Amino acid sequence: MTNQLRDPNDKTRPCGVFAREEILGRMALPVSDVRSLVITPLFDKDKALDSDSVDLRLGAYFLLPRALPEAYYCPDGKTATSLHVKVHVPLGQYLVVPAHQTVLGSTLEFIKLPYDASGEILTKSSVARTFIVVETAPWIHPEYRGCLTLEIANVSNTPVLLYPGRPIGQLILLHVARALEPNRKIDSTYFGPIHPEAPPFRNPEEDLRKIGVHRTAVIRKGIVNQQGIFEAEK
Amino acid sequence: MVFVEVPYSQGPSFFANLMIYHELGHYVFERLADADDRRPAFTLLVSAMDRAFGEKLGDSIKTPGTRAWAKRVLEAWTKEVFCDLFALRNLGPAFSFALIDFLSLLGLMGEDVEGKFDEDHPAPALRLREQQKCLQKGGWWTPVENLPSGHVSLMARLAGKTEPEYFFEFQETVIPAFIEAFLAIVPLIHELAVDLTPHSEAAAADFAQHAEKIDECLLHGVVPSSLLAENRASSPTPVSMINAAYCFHLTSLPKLMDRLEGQRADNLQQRMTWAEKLEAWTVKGVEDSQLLVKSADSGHR
Repeated sequence: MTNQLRDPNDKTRPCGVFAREEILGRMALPVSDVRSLVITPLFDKDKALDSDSVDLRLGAYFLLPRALPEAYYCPDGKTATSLHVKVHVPLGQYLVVPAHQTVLGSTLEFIKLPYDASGEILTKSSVARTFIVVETAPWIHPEYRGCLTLEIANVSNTPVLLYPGRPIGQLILLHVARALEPNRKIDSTYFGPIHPEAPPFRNPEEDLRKIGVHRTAVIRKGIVNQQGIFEAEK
Repeated sequence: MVFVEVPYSQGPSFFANLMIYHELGHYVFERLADADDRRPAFTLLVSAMDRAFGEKLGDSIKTPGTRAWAKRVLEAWTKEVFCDLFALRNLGPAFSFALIDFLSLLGLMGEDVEGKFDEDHPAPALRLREQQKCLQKGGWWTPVENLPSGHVSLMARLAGKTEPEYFFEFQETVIPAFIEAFLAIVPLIHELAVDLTPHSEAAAADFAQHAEKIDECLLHGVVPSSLLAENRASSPTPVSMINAAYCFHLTSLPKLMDRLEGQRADNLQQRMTWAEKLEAWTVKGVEDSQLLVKSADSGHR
């Protein structure tokens, strides 16, 4: 295995998807090694590791969409944390995802990616055949650590039960040809979550102003008073 | 050890919730008192309370109401120290650290309060002295005594206070006999706590074995539920994780923040965010550990 773990600055080091042996080798490195891979807790390691992937299980915490007071949802600074209700479903219990509904979940496993590997999480094929889709933003950057937030969608015509603790996704790791920068600091955005996280948004006008758009259409709540004049809600 | 599951909502204040173990101690004490077949160590404690009352206070207090009140005071102090030691032997020094934070002892201690007993509680100095003794006997103190932390130095300083510095004042009169009576009871409280928690020494040994590796995980932002040593993965106990994480909280949060882009340890808001994250990793580690144990027990690990 040691010949798989080349010098980080070796330009000839392997590319492509990590094979089982390399996954195991990376997991055997101490956590302080920038090339180390952590997946914890990992149950039944022999079965969890395929020739080129690792099975990940569904965690016990969810963010369920709530009925909003507005007739729409605008991803902005005000609503970013108001769309969801936090729910804990203990192992052994289930969560019903109604037909055509979505929930945010997370993996049971906490992972740490090496500095020179990206990850991709895919729905397990057996789960996909029940028309549950677990990821629409599957890419995981190098050095990420945390439980992965899963955007779970039931695209079938029937309610589906989800049991925390059951395998739900597959993690694929890919080499990133990247030189080691010993003193570089790690990006702290999305660092170390253990529960699904709601997305942090700014207001759309703030994002658009950065690319030179100075007029942004928005929907504002308010009332029309006796004189027929619109008063925006503060 | 029976670990009480912490609700989702309490994750960010996990360390403060360690105080629950003191309250569990009250429940245990009541159960011991109500038991038909009393535990010998408890019977010895009750005898010591009666003897101490008789020898130090019995002759000087004549009225039945005052005698009952005096017994209640001694019993309340006994229960408080018992609950501290019960929690400590289940949780290790993390309980003392949580108590110091919970009572804000770091900022509030002064000569006038450190040695002061009230009707319900013994003095903070005595409580921390007995906790330190218990940690020393149980093998917990050595791994933490040199931590560069205000919590540890406060414990050491208060534990060093001498008995004449303790005082109990009632209606503006200092009554030394209460303290004398109580000091005679204290060794029996230790014995009862030890009798009820025989697993504590093994927990201390696990902590001494795993603390460094847990610290390393936390420094790299990783949940410490599975540790690598000599190419083998092992799982520390929840108690080891809690103690190592609390020590990390007290000493190493700036080191973690220094590894992250845009984070400064002198920014209070950012520091609180990472303290909460650390507590969340600890909760996750404890949950994982319980799953790994269950899985191993059922032969699937």
